[in-house]
Amino acid sequence: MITSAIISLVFLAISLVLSPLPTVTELPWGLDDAMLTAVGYFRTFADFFPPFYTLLQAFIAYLFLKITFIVLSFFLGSRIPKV
Amino acid sequence: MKYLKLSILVVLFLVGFSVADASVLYTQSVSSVVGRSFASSTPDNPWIAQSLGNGFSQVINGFNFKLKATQDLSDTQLTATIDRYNEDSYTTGGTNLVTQHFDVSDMNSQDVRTIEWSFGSVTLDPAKYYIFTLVTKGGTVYIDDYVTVLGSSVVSSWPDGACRNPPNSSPTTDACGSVEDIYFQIIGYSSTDTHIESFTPDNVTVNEAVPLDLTVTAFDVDMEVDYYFNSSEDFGVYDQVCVQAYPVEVSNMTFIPYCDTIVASGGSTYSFTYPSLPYGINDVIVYFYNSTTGIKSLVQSFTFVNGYTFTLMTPHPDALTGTGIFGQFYGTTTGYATSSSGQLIEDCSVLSSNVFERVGCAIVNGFKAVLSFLFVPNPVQVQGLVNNLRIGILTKFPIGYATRTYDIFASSTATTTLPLMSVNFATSSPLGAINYTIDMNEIMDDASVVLNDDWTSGNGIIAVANDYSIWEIFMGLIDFTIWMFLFYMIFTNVVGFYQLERGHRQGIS
Repeated sequence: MITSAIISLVFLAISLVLSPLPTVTELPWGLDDAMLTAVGYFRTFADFFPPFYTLLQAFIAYLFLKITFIVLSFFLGSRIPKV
Repeated sequence: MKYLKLSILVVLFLVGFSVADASVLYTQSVSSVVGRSFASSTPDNPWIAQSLGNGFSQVINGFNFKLKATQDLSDTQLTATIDRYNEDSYTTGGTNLVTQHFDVSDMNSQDVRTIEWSFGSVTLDPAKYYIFTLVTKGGTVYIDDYVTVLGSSVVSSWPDGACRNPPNSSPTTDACGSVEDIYFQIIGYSSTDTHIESFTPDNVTVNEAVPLDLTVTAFDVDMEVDYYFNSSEDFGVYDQVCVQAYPVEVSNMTFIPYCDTIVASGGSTYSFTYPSLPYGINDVIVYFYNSTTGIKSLVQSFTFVNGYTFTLMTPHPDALTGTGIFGQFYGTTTGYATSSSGQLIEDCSVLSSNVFERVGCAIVNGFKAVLSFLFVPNPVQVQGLVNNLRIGILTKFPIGYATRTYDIFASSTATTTLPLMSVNFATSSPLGAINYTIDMNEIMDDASVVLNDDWTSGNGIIAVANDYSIWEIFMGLIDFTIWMFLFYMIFTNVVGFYQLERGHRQGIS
């Protein structure tokens, strides 16, 4: 209750600050379609060679870590390890 | 500043206590499936009815149920009605509230369809008795799933809830066939009594009949086990069906099983009450049992037959405040089952008028529950927070670009084919004007066949019980290597080794 309330307040405050910014629904300059197609090809390729699927999963996990660092850096500045 | 923080903490604490003190069943997800054939004694006019009882107030606006055809329904029409009567015998004052015809003639054998019946707001009178009736013409329809009352309702007492002959019907006996009960669900209470705030049916398919693991949380849990077998079913060495509870949060504690003799032809129903289950989550397992040898069928794979049904009711409406839900799971020839889970916060408030046992309100348990409620976020709340984070922060410019990139990698689907690659030689070359097209699909297909072929021991030097493909042999090692490398990357990123090492390489101290 208290924990979620505090977290909700923090999220609410951040969301209010960011609310004027536009919401990103796709990547610009045709990158969205290109990446969707490319990753689709990669997944098809990985169907034939399963190690590449594991590689993709690992990359996605690493990408998630990077995004987490980006978000933390955005709000906390230099208080986190540099990436 | 210090006093401000203290004030905020005190306010939050008090708010938390006041909320925790209220009686809330704040999460509930239940799968509800009924698998009973709906065959009438009058094939030209089969019908079935579900008494809903009285106590409904406010407004309903829909009624959902699911059908499964046991044969091609080329000429089957379905008519659903909800009628109102003056008393529980459903004989006087009959008034039709809503009627709807459904064309199910396009359903083939084994097709399953959810009928989402929405209608305008219908105001219900809590003093009246209501009944839901299905009438088919032609074919045989199999009532396969849950029946849901949508809208806000309050039930003062649990109605009979049983399948029954439709009012003023003919014949008057056993028109329900093997159907005993069409379970329905009531949601959206505004009462402050213990109640259900959300109810999400979630079916789970399993390949084996047992064990069926069901998580419930309550104090007194009434259960009902209904099972139906074809007479041809082979029960092996088992002669009883049992239900047993295992408190999750209390190790090495089990409750005695409740068993009943299997009735091979037709079916049987037995009900019982697990008294005073510990506060928290309890797993309930249903299994078959040999009463002579004591062998349980926990690892026995059963082939379900049509009509095999387990029903578990929790919490029983009588154990709460006259309201109830049903979690049901059943098996058919393909072995379907559902599970349900719920979490009950007992009403410990002084003003509570609830009559069920208050064992969970003991000072230690109650205080522990309140503290847990205050400081441990509920999974549903956490999920909501994550969604809010995603919507409110991660999709906003500029972080949204990174999120979108992540989504593309994580959620894109494989294409059906790989691209063709063409090579055009220049006219000035010896191979001028020749166009080569490389089909990666053919290349990959051949590779896939070879690599997925089972490798055998051949000369017998390698003693293996089974044959394995190249991937089955090496994937474990490959996965381990990749994930270890990822772990190394993450670790070095987090602790800064990578940057330190890179800095040294670049002459930066």
